[in-house]
Amino acid sequence: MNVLPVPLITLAIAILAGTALVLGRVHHPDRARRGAVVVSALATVGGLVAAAWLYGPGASVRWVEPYQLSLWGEARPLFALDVLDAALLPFTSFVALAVLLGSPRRQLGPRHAATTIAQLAATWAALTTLDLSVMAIAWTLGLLPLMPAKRSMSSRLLPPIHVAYLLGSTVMLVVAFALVGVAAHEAGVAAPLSLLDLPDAASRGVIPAAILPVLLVAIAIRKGIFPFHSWIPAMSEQRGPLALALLNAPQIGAFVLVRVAVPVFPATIADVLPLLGRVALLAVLYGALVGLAARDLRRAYGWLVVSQSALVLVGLECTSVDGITGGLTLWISVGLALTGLGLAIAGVEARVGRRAFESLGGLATRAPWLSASFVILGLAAVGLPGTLGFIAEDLLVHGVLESYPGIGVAIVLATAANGYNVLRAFMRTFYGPLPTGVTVGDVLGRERIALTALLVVLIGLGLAPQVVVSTRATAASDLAAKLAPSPHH
Amino acid sequence: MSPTSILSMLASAILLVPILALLALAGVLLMGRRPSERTVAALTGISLTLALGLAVASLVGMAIHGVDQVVVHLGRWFRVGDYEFDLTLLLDRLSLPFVLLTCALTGLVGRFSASYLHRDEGFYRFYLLLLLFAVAMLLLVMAGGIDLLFAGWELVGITSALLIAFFNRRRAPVLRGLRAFAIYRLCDVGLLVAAVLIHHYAHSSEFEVAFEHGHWPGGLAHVPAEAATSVALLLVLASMGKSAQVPFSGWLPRAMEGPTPSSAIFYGGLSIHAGAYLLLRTSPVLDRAPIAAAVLVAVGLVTAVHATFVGRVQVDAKNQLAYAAMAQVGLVLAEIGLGLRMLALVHITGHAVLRTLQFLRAPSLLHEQHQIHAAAGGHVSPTGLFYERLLPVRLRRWLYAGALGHGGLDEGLERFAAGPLIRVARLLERLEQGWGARFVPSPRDDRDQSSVATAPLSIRSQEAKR
Repeated sequence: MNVLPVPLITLAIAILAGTALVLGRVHHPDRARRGAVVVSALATVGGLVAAAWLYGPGASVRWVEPYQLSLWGEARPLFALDVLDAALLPFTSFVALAVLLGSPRRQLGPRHAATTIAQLAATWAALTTLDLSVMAIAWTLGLLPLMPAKRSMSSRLLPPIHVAYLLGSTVMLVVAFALVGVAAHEAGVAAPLSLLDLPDAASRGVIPAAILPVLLVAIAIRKGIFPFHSWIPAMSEQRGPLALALLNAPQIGAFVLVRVAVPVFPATIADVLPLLGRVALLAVLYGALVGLAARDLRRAYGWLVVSQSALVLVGLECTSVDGITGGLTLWISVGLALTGLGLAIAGVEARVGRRAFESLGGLATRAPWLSASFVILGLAAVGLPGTLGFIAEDLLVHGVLESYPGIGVAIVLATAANGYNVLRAFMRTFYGPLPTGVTVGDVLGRERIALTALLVVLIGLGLAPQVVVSTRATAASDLAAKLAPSPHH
Repeated sequence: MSPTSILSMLASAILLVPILALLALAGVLLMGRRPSERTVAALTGISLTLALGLAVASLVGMAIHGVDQVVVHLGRWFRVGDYEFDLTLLLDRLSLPFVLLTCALTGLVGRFSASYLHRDEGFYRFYLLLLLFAVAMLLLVMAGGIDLLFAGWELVGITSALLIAFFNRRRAPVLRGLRAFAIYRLCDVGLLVAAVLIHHYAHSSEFEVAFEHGHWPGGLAHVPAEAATSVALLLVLASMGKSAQVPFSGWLPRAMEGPTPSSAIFYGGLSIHAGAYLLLRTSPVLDRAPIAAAVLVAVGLVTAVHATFVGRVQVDAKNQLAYAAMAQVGLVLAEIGLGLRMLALVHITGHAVLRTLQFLRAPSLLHEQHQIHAAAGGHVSPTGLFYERLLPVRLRRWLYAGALGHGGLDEGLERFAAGPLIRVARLLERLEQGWGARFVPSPRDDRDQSSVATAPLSIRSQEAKR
């Protein structure tokens, strides 16, 4: 374990959080957006530099920060960069940048820029922390932009479905982490919530395996795994595709699985992971099937998110490094492609003001740029050759088919159906007769930059994928070693 | 420079030239520029003629130096542990005829379309898709491994669906494009799974390694006999989709909604033969799987009979041609199943050229009829002589009705496969929306006013239906 010379991660998160606070006080939405764009662009560059340095020649597996802090028990470093998270930092900030740059002005609220940056700060904290309490706080803060404002609480008791589900998953996560901490504390672990101490304690068998199901349910809800998936299409319908894209792209649920569940429950997880993978497979198939019946753009998007995001978990259950690498690469490719598709859908809505398929059509002639981005980004999410999605699906299908042939065939079928769903959404929106009264223009300069950036990254990495695949393969080998330490693996 | 390296450079250039033309056209259009129609047609024509010249030069070079196949290792695309994805191109006795056909026919169709689609609002889109198709088809036939072949295969399918829906102001072409894409996607499952299985058994996706010992049509598949049947059946499934074989043939006559030049190049010339190419390329697997070969023969013959039968009652020139093409491809597949590979290759070449010509002439059919009548000095009446006269009248009528209904194939697929699936999906979606509606809708704050304004649309329509 190496020590960073300065607490770079803490500084970066603090700068992001501070910027979010400042932006929250800027009343002019365009000015706030400009500030947020600059900050997220700088974060992307910073993340890229960090990743390039970490994965560079002679790199180490983990770099911790120089200071130590005690939240419970002995002091430990709070944040670290490692092979799993370093690539996710520039990825998440790039997603935020694209959304900030490309979202239509009509969908911007006064707090949009501030909440997006706040969410990014929380995501970075969750991705880099070594402490379960920080992770629980970051997980919760990442949801704050979704909480309903007080003035709008209606007479009915239940909150929106996505809020209810996400709150439920947060409670489960906090309970699971607290139980882990208590068990570790009772066993005399010096820092009971630190991921530096917990693996050692876990190998002594002091963490009861009964906590794992609680954690897994939290993860399953957050990931939208069947039968906890209903909030995703509902959120897409109620809050729009961009809010969902921002929440979904970092795949915090899958991250907690890899970062916490694997090292803290090493004895049980290897047996449970195949089961989780099969449940995720159900979500993949279910999302693809129900997506066939979606009647509007937002629900079609929601089902695509359910299906393609669950594929990441299917990849993680593989026994082979190439399958896990496929899952981890898909994490990035699906995140980028679905963000782009969300932007394109938001663009359509902002222009036409409708989203039911029966009231859409004919936009291709009016907005050729938007239509081209829609179809390429949408198909990139389901593995269009020439994009990073193709590489990810290729690796994933190879890995899964070699590990579990039946599941491999099922995911190929589901991806085929998703491809059909994307093209159906595209053709229903952009082809056919133009509804009367629709006079729209093509994408604006700002939107064009965001969509082009996503296209360039997806296609560029699709043509030269080794740079991403290598970083994911390093993380995958690390994970595979944790899952199956015996020599024959 | 050795002859091998010169041939390798020629082979790479065949693929590179259309890619550069495609990038140039896409780049110019992305920048918002509109070059003249003549420039676009010239760019397409020149690039494909150049590619054709390079292909001819490769052929001559290979003949002079007595080289049977040229394998070009372009490098490694990516690698994870033992799993490698190499970029390899392959020119041999099988791929060269297809490369020549692709460059020649696409180039000719490009020239034809310059007049045919003159001032059409989709002119630029058509040429963009035509160049993309040329690249995809060249990738498909020049791929040195089955993974790369799959990439080309997928792009051909997407281009095909987008071109069927080309005249997109009407609903019908759009629905038909979607239908073709659905069948493609379903059957592509076979190719992807087969590709992985070949890699699994042969430890490589490269044809050179997976089917070693001798060049095409020889070769020995490194797939154990017990697995060969399933791999071969998956490949047959894949080819049935692209080559419109029974029972997946319903999309082909519907694909005639696309512009005539694209019908010619896709369903007369090239795309329709992609399935046959796949089976020829992977024929060493078929050699080890007699059951799959028998299935292929049966599928091909049944399709040939079905297409002839249904094609007899078509009243539209393009539909007649579509069924005629389907019948010939059925025969080609039967030949492949019987092991007559060279015959199949010759058959494909002749059929592709003839059918493309027929498709391109289809729009001028009426004009030509008038010319014939004028030359004959009056109306030429049909003779009234046809083979069906030999059958009893009642049977003839019954067959006629059956042929008009496409032999009940589409209806059967819809009733027993697509219909139930869609009904289940709709039921689940209704239940999901009902569950979501039990919670309150999203808060109405400034951020998502636009979404709230439109949010209840689908819910309302659902409730109205209930």
